[in-house]
Amino acid sequence: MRRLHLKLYCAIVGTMLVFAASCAVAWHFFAPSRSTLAEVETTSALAAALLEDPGADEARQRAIIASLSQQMHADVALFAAGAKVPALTSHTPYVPSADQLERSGWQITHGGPFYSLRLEGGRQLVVHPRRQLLLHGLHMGMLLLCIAALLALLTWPISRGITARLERLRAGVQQFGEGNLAARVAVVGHDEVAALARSFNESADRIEKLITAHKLLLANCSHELRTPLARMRLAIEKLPEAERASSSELVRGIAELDALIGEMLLSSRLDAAAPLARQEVDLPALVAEEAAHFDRDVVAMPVTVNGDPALLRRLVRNLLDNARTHAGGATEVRVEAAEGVARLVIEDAGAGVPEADRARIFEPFYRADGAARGSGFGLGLAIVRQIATAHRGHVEYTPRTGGGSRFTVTLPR
Amino acid sequence: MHRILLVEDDARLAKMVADYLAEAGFRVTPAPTGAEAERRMQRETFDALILDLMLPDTDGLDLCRRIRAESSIPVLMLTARGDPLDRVVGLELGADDYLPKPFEPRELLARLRAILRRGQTAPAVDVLRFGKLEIDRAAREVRVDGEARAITGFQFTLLVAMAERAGRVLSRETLMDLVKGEEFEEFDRSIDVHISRLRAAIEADPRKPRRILTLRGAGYVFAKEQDR
Repeated sequence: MRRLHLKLYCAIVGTMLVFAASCAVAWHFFAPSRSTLAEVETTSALAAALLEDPGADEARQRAIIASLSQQMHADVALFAAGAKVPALTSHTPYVPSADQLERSGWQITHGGPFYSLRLEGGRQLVVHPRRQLLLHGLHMGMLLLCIAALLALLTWPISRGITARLERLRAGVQQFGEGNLAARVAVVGHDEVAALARSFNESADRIEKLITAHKLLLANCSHELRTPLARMRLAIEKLPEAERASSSELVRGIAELDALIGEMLLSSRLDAAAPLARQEVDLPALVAEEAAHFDRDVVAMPVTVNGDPALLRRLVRNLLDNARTHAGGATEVRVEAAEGVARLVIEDAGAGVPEADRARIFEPFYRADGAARGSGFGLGLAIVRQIATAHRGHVEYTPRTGGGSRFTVTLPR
Repeated sequence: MHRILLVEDDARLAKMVADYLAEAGFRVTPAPTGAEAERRMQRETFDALILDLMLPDTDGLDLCRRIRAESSIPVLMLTARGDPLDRVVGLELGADDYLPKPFEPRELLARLRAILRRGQTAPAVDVLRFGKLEIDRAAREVRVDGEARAITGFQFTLLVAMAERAGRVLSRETLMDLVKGEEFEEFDRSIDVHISRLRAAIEADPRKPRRILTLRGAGYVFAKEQDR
């Protein structure tokens, strides 16, 4: 069942309805009412007409004022011409200041609006409705703000309810993305979020199966390909002494095949972005150890990186091996520490790489145009780049000053 | 004559290994599955076990763990080099050594002999092993390929200090600190002299050191991976 959009729709429409109703109620009770103003004016005019009747004695006038006060819920006062003090008042009189008395019509004062009417003979009738007829714009605005704030408070749990589940979903997806293939999210409810959670779980299942199958395939490949190699190697051992010379080529071939299988599997594993077995690695020590196998000295600054030692070894070995294959060996091996990074520089004094090909030497099985078969770079440099990338670092080629190549691997510390 | 149980599912390879080892004077019983191997183990006694990591019915690591729980028979694990972790895991589960396929037949022989030799002596608990190099802290003896090499007590202490920190750059000052308190037999000699004596004792070619490396301007590194 699809309910999330209904929920959102209801929340929006509901909020609008509640707001509209609150405004209507507020308006009803507090807003200035045109008809009430008119009522005051009409009734006051009628009262004035009665008060002007020459036949009306003081008792009659008092009764008229009392009646007006009662009908209009107002404080009423009648001033004699020029008087500051009312001649006649209702039960609770309203006495404006002298200058306010000068004018007639509606006047706004601190005590609220009052209606003043000049009678014949200079007398003045002052009607001050007790009910708040006019709410100041400011008050009305504040009232609306209060309603809005109240609504905002009430709708908060609704929006949290919707996003909290999305938040949980996001956390699950992130966990999966960080390599925990067993991570799944809980499916709660029957709406779109639940459907999304369900389809994420299904995709995660499929991805996990694929990756597991891939791993199994890699492991089996290695086994299935190397068992026959082992048989071949043993068979060579049984050849008579006289055939040893020709068998050495076979032994070399087997070793090359073995290395190639290893490289392809490693490259494939790195492509699968399996998590690294990271630890603090003393980079100068590791490089020195690998360089020793190539009889190369290392110039190093002390620096450690957080990485997979087996893969970093492989990276160093591949670069040194590349220098040996293509340039008769590295001329310089340096480890440098810089701001936030460790750098490994391996230089050789070989022919270097033509500018057109520099971008492509890190591609698998790259071979320079016109180069003879067997002179390819194989997977060695491709693996170097893969390992560097897996460590969030990079490798670059620059020509060495004075001819040859310089490979620089930069790894974050 | 040593009796070897060979657990390998590839019948042709098993036969070739059996023939090869027979020529070298071993008696080899092949077992194509883990279940068969366990049956054999219960009925007969063997001097060593050659175990393939990938078996049709079980995982070689599981089998190794089960066998280790009951017996201290030396185990040489054969595996297609699949995962760099295999080696560590195999050794942690009690395999005595490990050989990746395709292997040099002579290396198989050498390693088999080595684990048989180790099996005869008391289990060495206090031994640091780096390839063919063994540093026996209990006996204060250093062996290369099973053969004891003569070094002084001070040099042994220095070697142990370095070996315990294999894979890290150690400055001369650090090394001096590490062996401080030890009796300085030859006070006037610098660390470098002792290092070159150690190299003469344990390196195949002291001019091309593989175990104790010099890092110019920084100090020394005791290699973590030796004889690979």
